[in-house]
Amino acid sequence: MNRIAEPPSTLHQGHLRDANQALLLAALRAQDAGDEARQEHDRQADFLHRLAHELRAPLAPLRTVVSLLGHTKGSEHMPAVQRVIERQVMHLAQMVEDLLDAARMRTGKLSLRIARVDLQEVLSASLQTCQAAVALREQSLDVNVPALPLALHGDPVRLTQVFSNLLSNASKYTPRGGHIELSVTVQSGHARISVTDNGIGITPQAIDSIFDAYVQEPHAVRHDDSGLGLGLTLARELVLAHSGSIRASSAGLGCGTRFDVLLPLTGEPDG
Amino acid sequence: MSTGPLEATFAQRAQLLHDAQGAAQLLVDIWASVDAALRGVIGPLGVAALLARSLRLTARHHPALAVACVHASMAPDLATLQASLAREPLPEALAASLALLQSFEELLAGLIGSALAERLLRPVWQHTPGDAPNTPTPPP
Repeated sequence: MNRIAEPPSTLHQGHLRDANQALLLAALRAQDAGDEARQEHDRQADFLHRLAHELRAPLAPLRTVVSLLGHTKGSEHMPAVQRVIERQVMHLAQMVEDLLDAARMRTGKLSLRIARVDLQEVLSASLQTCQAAVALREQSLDVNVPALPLALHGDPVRLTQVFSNLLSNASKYTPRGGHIELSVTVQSGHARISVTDNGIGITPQAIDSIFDAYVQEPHAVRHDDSGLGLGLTLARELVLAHSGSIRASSAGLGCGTRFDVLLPLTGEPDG
Repeated sequence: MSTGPLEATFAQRAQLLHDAQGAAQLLVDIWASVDAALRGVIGPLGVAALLARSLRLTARHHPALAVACVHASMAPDLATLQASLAREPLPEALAASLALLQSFEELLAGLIGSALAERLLRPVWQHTPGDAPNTPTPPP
C-alpha cells in the first residue's frame, strides 16, 4: 500500500492539509448560507413593506366615503359610495386570499376540487374577471380558442384563477392602448394556452425569477408598483398541481411577454 | 482602508501595463502564485473555494468577474475570467482585479487572522524579484 511507504511527516502534512481544507470549506459554506439568509430576510422585509403599503391603499378611499356617509343627507350619493366600498373591500379580500393561498402552498395544505372541466368555460370566466381592467386601460384583447371540446380534469375555480392572474398581469404590464392575446392550441393530448402582450417585457436576468414569491422586477415596479408579487407564483403552483407546466418568455425590455401553459386533456369525448 | 500585500504587488506591477490583456494576465499570474503558496496548507479545493467566494462578493460591483462564478460548488474558470477582464477597458480591468485581490485577502484574514494570512501569502511577493510591495512591515 502506498501510504505505508509514505514518510510519516508527509503523511501528517497531508492529513493536516485535508483537515484544513475541510474546515475552510465548512466555514465558506457557512458564510454562503449566511448570505442567503440575509438576502431572504431582505426579501421578507421588502415584502412586509409592500404588504403594509398595499393593505393601507384601500383604506383612504374607504375612510373618505365613510366620512361622506356621516355628512350626506339623502340617498343620491349612496350608489357611488356603495361602489367604492365594494371595490375596495374586494381588493382587500383578494389580497388576503392570495396571501392565504401562498401560505397554504408553502405548507402543502392547498387542496384541489378535481372535476371534469371544460377549458372554454374556464377561459370565459377568466376573461370576465379582467375585462374591466382591459377596458379601463383601453387595451385590445384578442381571443383565439378553437371551437372544440377541450375537457380536462381540474379544479375549475383554481384554473380560472391561473388564467385570471395571467390576463390581469398582461393588462397591468401593458401600456394604455396596448394589445393582449389569449390563444389555445391542441397538441399531443395537451392544450397550450398562451397569453401574449406587447407590454414592458422582462429582462433576461429576471426571467428565471419571475415566478418566485414576493419578487417584482424593478422596471415592473416602476411601471406599476401595486400588487404583492404573488400572482405568478400562485399561477405556477396551481398549474404544477394540475400536472401541467408554465413558461414565460420575452425578447427583452419593451418587447412584450408571453406565458405558455401546457395542461393535459382528458382524451375522452366531451359530454 | 489599508492595502494588502497582494493588492500592493498587483498595483506595483500594473504600473507597467498598457492594456486590459496585460492586467488580466497579471491577475492570473498572481493567482497562480497564490494557489502555489496556499494549496499545500488548505488544499486545492480550499484555494478554489476562497477564490470562488471572493469572485461572488466582488462581481456585485464588477460584472466582468461574474462570468467566472459558474456555480458556488464549482471551481472558478480562470480562462474565462482572464478573457472577460481582457475585454474590459484598462481602468475597469485594473479596478476589478484590485477589488478581487482585496476581497480575497480580507476573506482569508477573516478566516485565519491577518498575521497568518500575511505569512502564508508572503512567498507571492517575496519570490518575485523586484516586486516587493511597499506595505507596512507586519508584526513579527
